[in-house]
Amino acid sequence: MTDLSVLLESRPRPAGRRFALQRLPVSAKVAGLVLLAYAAVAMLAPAIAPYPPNEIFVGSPFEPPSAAFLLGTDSLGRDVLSRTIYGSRTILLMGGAAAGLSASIGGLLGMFIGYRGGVLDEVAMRMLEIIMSIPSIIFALLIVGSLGASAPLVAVTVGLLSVPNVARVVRAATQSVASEDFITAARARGETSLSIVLRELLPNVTGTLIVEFSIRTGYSILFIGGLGFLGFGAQPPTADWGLMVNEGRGTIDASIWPVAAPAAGMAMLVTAVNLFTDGVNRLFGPAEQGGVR
Amino acid sequence: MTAAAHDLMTVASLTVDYRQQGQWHSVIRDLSLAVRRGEILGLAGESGCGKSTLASVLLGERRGERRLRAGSVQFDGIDLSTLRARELRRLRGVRLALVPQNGGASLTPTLRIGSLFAETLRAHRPHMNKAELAAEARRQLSQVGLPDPTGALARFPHQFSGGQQQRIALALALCRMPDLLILDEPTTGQDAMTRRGIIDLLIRLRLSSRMSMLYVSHDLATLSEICDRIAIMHAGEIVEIGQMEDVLLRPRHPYTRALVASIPRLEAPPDPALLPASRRTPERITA
Repeated sequence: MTDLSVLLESRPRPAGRRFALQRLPVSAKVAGLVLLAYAAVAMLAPAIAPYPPNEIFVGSPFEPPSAAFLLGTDSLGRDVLSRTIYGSRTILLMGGAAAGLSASIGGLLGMFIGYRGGVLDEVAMRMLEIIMSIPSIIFALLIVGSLGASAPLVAVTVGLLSVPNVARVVRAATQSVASEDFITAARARGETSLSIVLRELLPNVTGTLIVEFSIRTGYSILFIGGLGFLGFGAQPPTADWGLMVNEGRGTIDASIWPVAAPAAGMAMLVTAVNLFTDGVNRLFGPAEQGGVR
Repeated sequence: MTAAAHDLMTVASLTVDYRQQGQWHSVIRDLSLAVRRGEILGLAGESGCGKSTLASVLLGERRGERRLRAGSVQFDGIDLSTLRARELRRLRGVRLALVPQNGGASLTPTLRIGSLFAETLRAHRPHMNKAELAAEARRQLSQVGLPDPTGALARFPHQFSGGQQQRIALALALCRMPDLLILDEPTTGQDAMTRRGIIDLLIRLRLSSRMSMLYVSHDLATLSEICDRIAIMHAGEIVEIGQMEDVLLRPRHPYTRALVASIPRLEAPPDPALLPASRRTPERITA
């Protein structure tokens, strides 16, 4: 029989956070379940969507909700529910990829400049501030407009635009860790900067990185939705929520469902991400166990 | 053999400044010092006199808001200020090692002791395999008297007591048997038994190897037990340096005299009549 006290004693302190999810506030737990449901719907889309998302005239245009079409049909007679279900795939994939990109590149950059300090830090910070002073939407439209709109390019663009924000926060977290004795001791042992960043610093700024990833996910979803609405995201006939809202807004008098369904889907997704982020911030945030941002 | 050949670490006319609110302030002024081969040199002085700054400068540490305004630090004839970062890294941990003041804080909290040893050893011997790394780590931990070295490798720093953490920090510093070991107040904040254990360990180490040590501390009593020579530091300057007995028995500088006078001694019990009422035991109260 396993002695529980031995297990607890041998439990590493940071790894103890694995169980921290149980201490999330109720709102964050509910939000987590909603996110899991979104992920399940996205993964099982082919199995649960009643019709192919891009097939036109599966019903008449602008059919109201009925047993055959739970959320009605759009101007081309496509099933709104099926398109909304498939749309969750696009947004989750693009939002997750963008947030992952910004968290990994911004995290590494922030750790590196935060650890090295000095002139490199000063120069890098000023450059990041310059980039941040330009409105993201203008940057994104410039890049996507000149290189051509496609889902991967939009995800990469949105991800890169968040790099300065992540780098700033991670840099600040790194600076407080970099002044710890164990970093000085690692240098005194002759370890390389790369080894110190990856082995000593990274595990100690993981909490900040997780929070940043969550924040950037919510931001990216909204941003990508906005770009899709402007026609700079996924291209027709892709089932993309932003694009669906744009396509449906001209005929909103005929049927509100082609607009309401993806809009509600996105609103609920972003709300869930934000609530979950708030909870995660309380556990892992910079001020830990109280998370102030 | 010349004096220079005897000296392993030579500090000549060193001046170090720190920047505070845009202004540079000298914390070490025109300091000269030499650590001879095979000796233990004590560096004593009050808190804030620049001892730890000197210790980090001797390691070639260049980070932070400070500058070496004048002077040089030479290790075995190599001027540390001229070394590139990579050359300096090769020196650290191999020929130069540090035992920091707070052993617990110097061990990365997220790494197991085995990983800490593996990192330290691999930094300079990248080809060691897992079995060799573990064997070497166990050998080092046994040397510093840590019980159950095999079990210790799988544990995290916070699972050890303060004294054990300090021993692990010492074992990490000794990994490569450096030529010069810099000990920055390694026994400060430790209980009497732990302090005793660490001092005994250093004495044994000194007998078994010809390792030079610079022992930085404000505790003259500890320094007097293990050091051959002692340097007294005050306000960023060395005010007196010499053989241990000479400095302790015949201090010349007023600051040294004050420092020596402040060493706690076990003497005859004080006159009860002079004690405050709260410290008098009933037996001592006279009618």
